[in-house]
This record gives sequence, C-alpha cells and structure tokens, in this order.
Amino acid sequence: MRQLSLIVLAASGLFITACGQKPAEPAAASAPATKAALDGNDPCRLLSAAEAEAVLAAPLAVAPYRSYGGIGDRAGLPLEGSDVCWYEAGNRRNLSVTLTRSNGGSVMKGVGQVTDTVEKNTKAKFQDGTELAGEWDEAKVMNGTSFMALRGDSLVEIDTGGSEATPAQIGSLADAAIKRLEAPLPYDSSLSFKAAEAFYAKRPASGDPCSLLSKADVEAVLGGAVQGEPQANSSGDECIYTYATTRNGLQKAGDQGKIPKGTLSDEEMKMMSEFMGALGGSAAIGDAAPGATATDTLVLNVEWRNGYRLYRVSNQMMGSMGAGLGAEMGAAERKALGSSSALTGPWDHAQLSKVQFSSVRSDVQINLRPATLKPEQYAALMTRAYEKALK
Amino acid sequence: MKTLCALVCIALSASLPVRAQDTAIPLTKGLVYVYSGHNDTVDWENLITITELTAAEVTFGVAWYHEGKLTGRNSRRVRLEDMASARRSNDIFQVGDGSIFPGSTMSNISTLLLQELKDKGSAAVVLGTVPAGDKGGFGLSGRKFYRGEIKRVASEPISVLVNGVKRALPSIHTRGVLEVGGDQINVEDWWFDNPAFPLNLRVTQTNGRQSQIIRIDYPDAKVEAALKTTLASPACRAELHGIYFNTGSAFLLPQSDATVQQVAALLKANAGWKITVEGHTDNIGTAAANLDLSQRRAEAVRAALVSAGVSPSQLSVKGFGLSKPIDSNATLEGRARNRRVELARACAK
Repeated sequence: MRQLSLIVLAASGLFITACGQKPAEPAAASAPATKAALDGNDPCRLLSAAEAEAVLAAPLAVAPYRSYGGIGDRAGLPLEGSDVCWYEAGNRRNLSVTLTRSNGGSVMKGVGQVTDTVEKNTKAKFQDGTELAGEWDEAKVMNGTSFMALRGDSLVEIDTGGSEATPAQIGSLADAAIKRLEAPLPYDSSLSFKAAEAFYAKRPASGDPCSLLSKADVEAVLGGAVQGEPQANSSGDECIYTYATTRNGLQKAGDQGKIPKGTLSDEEMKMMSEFMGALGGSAAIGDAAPGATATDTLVLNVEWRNGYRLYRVSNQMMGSMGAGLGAEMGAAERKALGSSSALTGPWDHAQLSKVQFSSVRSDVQINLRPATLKPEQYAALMTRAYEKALK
Repeated sequence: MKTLCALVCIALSASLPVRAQDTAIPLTKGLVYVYSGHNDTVDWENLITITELTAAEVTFGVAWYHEGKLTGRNSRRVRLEDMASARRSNDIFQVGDGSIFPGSTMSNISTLLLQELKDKGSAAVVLGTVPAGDKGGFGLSGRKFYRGEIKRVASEPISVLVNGVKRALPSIHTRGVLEVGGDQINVEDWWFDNPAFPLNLRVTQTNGRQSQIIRIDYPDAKVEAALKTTLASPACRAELHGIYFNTGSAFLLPQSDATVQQVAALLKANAGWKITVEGHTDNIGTAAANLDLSQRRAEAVRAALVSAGVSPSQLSVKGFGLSKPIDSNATLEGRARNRRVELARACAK
C-alpha cells in the first residue's frame, strides 16, 4: 500500500509547489501606496484566518504563514517566500492555499494529463470537474480534497485534505480566494513566521517506527512470541514483527509485507493485482512454506506528519479503487472492500479494510497489516503506539 | 482552406425556396453544425452535435477531423442558465477536463451578451482559449482566460448551408482586444443574431485561430413536410440534407442520425412508396472510383434506414458517380452540392 499511495499521491499531486516556480509579478499592480510593502504574491493574503477557522471548526494555533506544500512530511514546515500558505488549528487540523500567479493554465493542463493517464490505467477516478460555479474560470477537484481554481492564468489551490471540509466548503474558500487575486488582503505573513516555527517544532519528531510498539507490546496483544528483533524497513516508515501464530496462513521468510493467504477472495485479489500492476507495483500473497514454522508478520506503518491528509487521500483512493468513483469511501465502497469505520479506539478516525487497518490521530497516521486481527487487538496496539508517538 | 467542406461529403440542398427572412434556428436536440478551419498546414473540421437537451442543460458532442480523419471525440455539458446569461465562453478541450464548466458557454455567446451587443454596441467578455503558438491547444501552455470588451463594428450576413439551403445568416460583427497577465489577443467574431442560440459563425484571432461555420442541420418539421411533399409530387424526387460521411468513405457518421430518423419515419408512414436511394459525387477522382463510392454511400444510407425500421423491400440503391451534377464542379460550393444523396420514388410520370 505504501508504494501505491506514493504513486497516486505523486500523480494526483503535481502540486504547484512541486513546479518550483518563483511566482511572477502580479498582473495588477494597483495596490494602495500604504500597502506597497506587502508582498503581492503572498498566498496568505488570499484567505483570512477567520475564513479558515470556519472550515477547520477551531481557532488557528498560529497566524497564517508561508510553508512547504501539502504533500510529504514537510507539509506545514515554515518556508519564507513560499507560494503556499498554511492554516493550522491547535488540534493539527489544517488546510493550505497555494498561489500560482502565472502559467496556472499550464499547471492545470499538466495535472489533468498525468492524472488522466493514471485513471485510464487503474480504472479509478481521482480527479473531477466540479458542478460548482464561482469566480473562477475553471475548476478541478483532486482526490476529493484539493480544489484547483483557475482565473485568467492564475491558479489558486485550496487543499483541505488535513481537514474535514466538504466540497461545498472548499468551493466557498476558493471563491473567496479567487476574488482577492487582484485585491489581496492587507496581511503580512512574514510577521507570523517565527511563531510558526515554534509551533511547528512542537510536532512529533520523526523517528524509529519500531519505537512505537515494543516486542512486549506485540506479544501481549497477539499472544505469540515475537521472533528476533523488530525490523525497520529501508525507508524508515515501517516496522516488521515476526511472531508465532495459530492463524491458518503461514508465510515463508521474505514474504513479510505481502497480503496473507486467505485475506482476499480470488476476485478481490485479481482487482488488487490489476490495480497495483497498473501503477507499476505488485500485490502478492504470501505463500505457505512446507514445514514452515507457524509464524506471521505484523507490519506497522507510520507517517509522523501530514497524517490527516494522507489518511483522507488514501481513503479516497480506496473508495475509487473499490467503485471507480471520485467520492471518498462511502457505505457502498466500504461494503465492496469489506471496510468498516465503526471502530472504537484511541484515534480520530480509523478504517479496517481487507487490506489493512488505517488510523490517524493528531495528524499522525499509523497503519497495521494484516487486516485479520480483532478490533480490540487493533485498539490495544494503537493505544500503545499513539501514546509513544504523541508523548 | 484548401479542402473547405472536405469532410461534408454529401449534400446538401433540399428543394426548398430560400427564405432569407426566416433565419431563426432553434436550440434543439439533433442540431449539427460544422466548423471548418486551417491551422498552419492542416485543414480541420469540427462536427458539433446537440446530443441532449434537458430543462437544465444542453450537451454537445464534438468530433474533430484533421485532413478528413477523425482525431478525437469529446462532449461537454452547458447549463441553460449560462446559455442565457454567461459572460464566459470556452471551447477548448484538454485531457482531464470535467464534463461541464459552470459559468461558461461553448461555441456561442449568451443571449444576454447578444442583446448587449445589439443595445449598447459592446459587451464585457471572458474568452477561454490558448495563446499564440499553442498549436490549437496541443501545446504546453494550457487554456487561459482572456478578459476585455468586444465592440460591434457592423451587422453582416454570413453565408451558411442551413438544412441544405444556402442562407445569409444575420450576424453581429465584433472586434476586441482581450488580455490576461499582459498577454493580449485580438479577436474578431461574427455572432449569429439568433437569440435562441447565438453561435459564433466566424472567428479570427491573433493566436492564429481562424474558423467558420459552413453548415448547420437541424430537425425541422417544415423540412420534413417539404420532403414528403416533394416526394409525393409528380417530381417524385428529393435531395437529403443532414447526411454526413467521412471524406472518401461510405462510413455514415452519427451526426446523420437525426435526418435518418426523420426520413425513416416518413417512409414508414408511407409504406407503399418504393424508394431508390441514389448516390452522387463531384468530379474529383476517377469516374470508376466515384461510381463505386456513390454506390457504397447509397447502400450505407439504405442500411441506416433499414436499421431505423424501414422495410428492406421498400428500398433499392443506385450509384451515379459523377454523371449527374446539379452544379458546377469548378467551385468548392458547386462540388459540395454535387456530392449528395437523393431519394427517388417510383411513380408514373
């Protein structure tokens, strides 16, 4: 899932910051003399704190500031001169505004082309036009969480993946931002930069994924002895525990991370294989080894930052995969994928599909595979993991 | 423009009198209009069909042809409220586009803007197009939306084949300089003075774009009645309009559907008629090739009519090739008229 997520994120997120373009000068240079010192390309001048707070349903922890964009674990990291503005509440719910002052049409076209290719190969749906009318000349919704609005040749992207905003709310934000392209708010985001750095520094630091669950934690919940030491993967976002099991699904050494035998039906496995194959990845079932020791693997995946957005986007991706829809996972898609969100535990949101258990809390996302544990086992493991991640 | 009307192979002229004063064209399902243009070295045509019309939206199906070959298809929905009052138009298609652009029309201005041009002589507009050098939307720059004012400079008729009849459609000729981010574009348009559907009949832009509508066909009860009257008359013969083939091919394009359905309804209601579907061509190519093409096209029309429910025993076919021109083959327009399908009813003369 990790590889799949990254590919889709990359495809769906040819975000403006990725272009590395220094914004051009604004077309309209008619700002009042008293505001001449304000940066006309400051994206924080497009949306007020109050407007963001209304959507985040919480007060901002720090005044809007310029930062890295909405993809990757640097999202929200203060960055002077950036074309991204970050709005984050004390509970880590967040949204961002990205401004591409010129060549926005080119960005819009590029995103459409790349995503269209992915969609054709996967038969899923990650982008859509929008039925909403506004001050924009054209608009596109990506992953159900990112609203791209073009006016003239200027592009404004409102990314609400880190919030629970509805499409209509995103559209209202985009409308407000677009209206200010030629008359930005009298706001200087540089004044909040130091406070933003201090706020950002309070985030959980990235660390060893194996630090979140000890051998004893796993053994206490799963009942079998963990063999050897937990192993972190090379990218440092997963920890693999091999443990004794009585489950009917033995795996050979080297099959860690694969989908355990018996997890998916043949039809479900075919769908998963086609989807992964189209993205250049693979979905393999761990094989039983003749005479193998009765062991299984538990894989913990953690995203220390930007977890709300990752959770929501992967949720949308799973929904698309299950039903070919652009919508986030709804009841029909959950049924198709055997997913459930009716889980009780120490998280803000959680999903249990036939592929994995996924959860998020305070912008940290933690996933577990396999998906065959009991709900109370996930809750027990996540209680320990979040205690350590958020301490 | 070397092959103006190259795609529109069959023709066109029903035996109806020209009614210059009767130029209103409704926004109706089945309406087909054809833009012809030239980019760099490529002749192209766009066939645009109204495929759906509801109380809220109109859906346009678009097929692009370059040098007579189909290069793409797409569709777009437009809200009727935008047909009435939008200031923005956008007829550029890009990969990954949604099916609708709320707030925009496609290849027409809104009724409101037409009225402003007539009343005030100017209108503020937003035009979605591609900048110079973008090769008609295939370049990297993507669609930009230019803003500015267009001003009426004249009222001029534009000649268009409408349901097979050459008509001088009234138009409002406008000019304007539109701008986005310092990039300017000069636009010159001829808007059909037709409040129900103010089509852009002709456009010239400094981004190299030039095109004009050469043909409009739409379901019209008067035309259907005239077809019946003509076939029933001692002449026993009528030309068909609204039939579209690929260049040099007998493949009947879906834009012909409305006409096929109309004719089928007429023939089913007159099951006693014995009809010969006749194919005719211009004089481009050898006589043998044209004879073969005209025969195959006549057969294609017959097959479509049979598929629409006409009894096979009611229909026969005959190709005449280039042997029976009704106009000069020395002109584009004359050749277009010579490329035609006729229906001939067996009757005593």
